[in-house]
Amino acid sequence: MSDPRVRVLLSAVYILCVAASPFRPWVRMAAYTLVLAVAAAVWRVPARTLIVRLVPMAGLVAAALAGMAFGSTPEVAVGLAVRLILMSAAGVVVSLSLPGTLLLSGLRSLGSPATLVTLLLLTSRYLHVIGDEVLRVQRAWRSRAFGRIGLRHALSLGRAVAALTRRSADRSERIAWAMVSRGFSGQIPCRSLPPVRGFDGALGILVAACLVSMALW
Amino acid sequence: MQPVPLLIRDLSFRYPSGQLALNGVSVTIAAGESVAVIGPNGAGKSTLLLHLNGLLRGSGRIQVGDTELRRETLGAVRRQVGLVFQDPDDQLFLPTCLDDVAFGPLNEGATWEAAVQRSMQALAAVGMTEHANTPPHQLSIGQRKRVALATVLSMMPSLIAFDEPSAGLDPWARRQLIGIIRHLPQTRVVATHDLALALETCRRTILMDAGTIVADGPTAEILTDTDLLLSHRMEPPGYRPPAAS
Amino acid sequence: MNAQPDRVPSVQDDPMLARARDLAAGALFCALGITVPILFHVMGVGRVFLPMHLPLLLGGLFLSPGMALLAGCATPWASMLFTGMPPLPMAIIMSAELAVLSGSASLGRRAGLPLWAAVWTAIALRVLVTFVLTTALARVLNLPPAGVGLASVAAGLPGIILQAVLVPASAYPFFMRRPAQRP
Repeated sequence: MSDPRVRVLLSAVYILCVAASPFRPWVRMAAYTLVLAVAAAVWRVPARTLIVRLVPMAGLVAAALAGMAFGSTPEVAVGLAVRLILMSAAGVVVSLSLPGTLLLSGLRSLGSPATLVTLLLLTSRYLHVIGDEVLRVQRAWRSRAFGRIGLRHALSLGRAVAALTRRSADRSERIAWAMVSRGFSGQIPCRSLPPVRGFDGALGILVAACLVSMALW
Repeated sequence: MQPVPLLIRDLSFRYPSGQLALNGVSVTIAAGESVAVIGPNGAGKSTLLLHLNGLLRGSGRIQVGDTELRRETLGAVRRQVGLVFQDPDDQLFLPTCLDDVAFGPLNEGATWEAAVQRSMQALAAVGMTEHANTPPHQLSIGQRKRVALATVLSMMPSLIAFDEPSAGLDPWARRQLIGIIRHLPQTRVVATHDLALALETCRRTILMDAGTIVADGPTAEILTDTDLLLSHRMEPPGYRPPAAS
Repeated sequence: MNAQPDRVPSVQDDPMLARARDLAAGALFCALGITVPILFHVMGVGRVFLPMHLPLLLGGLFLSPGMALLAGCATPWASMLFTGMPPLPMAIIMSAELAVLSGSASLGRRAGLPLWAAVWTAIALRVLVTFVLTTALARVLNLPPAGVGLASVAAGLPGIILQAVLVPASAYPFFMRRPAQRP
């Protein structure tokens, strides 16, 4: 199932199904987990990266569990935490399973607004350029600062960010010049995807039907 | 693609900050000619290049081939004039080199297949076909400069303007780029601080300072006029300042 | 090009240049919104300073209202796509917060408010949205809504102070560039 459109749609169905399902019976949640594990394995998502990307969920899971201190039953709290993890993991799995550009082409052909996709395309390109600039700021800072940087440095760091923002605004002007001088006509032309293959479509419908029947179970 | 002549008359431009960047510039460049524009920082070289396809609009007249630059001819002029920016990261704004090189042809209405064909030809002209699907951030600056040139070549322009083509390049990458620029059939305008590059790629040189043209002549003559260059904060190739007494 | 990229007169004649500038700036502010939190984290200055908000608030002053709204809305999702942060439910809240912050700063500027007023209004509206959304999330998580709402606003106070002081001061010189003239 290599088509990005099928993957994106399936992950959306998965998230909706998990959100709509009650926690009981627990076997259903186990089945959802199994589906996700199989998808991650088939789409060759690196387990380590998946886990690292799920670590930020810890705070939210803790908040869900903290509900027990305010009258929530353990079953409700744990159920909420599990569903939050599964929904997040679905998003992470699909984003790790495809190159960013392919994912964006998929979103575009699924009818996402062209301006949004164009914005994300440009963002994916300039993430590295801006990342390098941020790294230079960090190096320059470290070369002149000694010891641990703390809260009292926040204002100076904020000024550095403001300078980066102004530099980015100037760069945007030059990028605009480059776009316009090559005939930019309002949107960036995107590679069109071939039609969904029959096998991909059929398998996608089958998995989606399974997910919906699990939710209705 | 046929090389076209360029005519500029009384071009003046002031930035919103109040700085007068161009002050009555007039120049004529013949079809197929390769001209270096040299001068110190702030001389107006880059500003002049930005006027060639209407990105900046000063007072005065610009004509590319038979087309005079006006609001209604912007598209036609931009199809004829290709700009190669100093920083390739400004020019390469899409996730892969092929996407970027195909951007121009696609905007001209080419189908994806036709755009890819033209893009591959342009990438071949700069020796970068094997990097068609590489994201630009994975390339060296020399490679990125070559792909930036390919983004312009894929539009088959008649005139190419280069802004500081050798800035930031190591000697090997610089040599490769010089070889490419020398063999382009288009009319070329090369704004540069690299006088050795000017000598190798252009038979004619224009020296600018403070927004005006102060000298215009054969490159070999201008680059050997030490007094002229020093009086405009430039150094001839191989120049050694007199030892301090 | 090394030419000074001031706001130049060609925009009136060339709507495509204005559109391209808006798209490119939106993408760069989005990219900053993803990388600046990493910088703050690496430097040991925490999330209490709301690092993702800083470039998007500044960006809001620069972008058209529509693009500011879109950039604010898209940044948490793009960040989730490229870095895994923030996690899904937080991305929904942050998306609304940043869209309001960036979009209202842009609208404030277009409405002719002074810089500081546009910035402070945007911050106030963002705080309101944060309170409402975290209260709603607290209800889902069975936590005391008012307490969680107030705590989330209070946790961001250092960031609010930083934005309120820094953004108008940083943006002022940028917007003070004189209008274009022809000799």
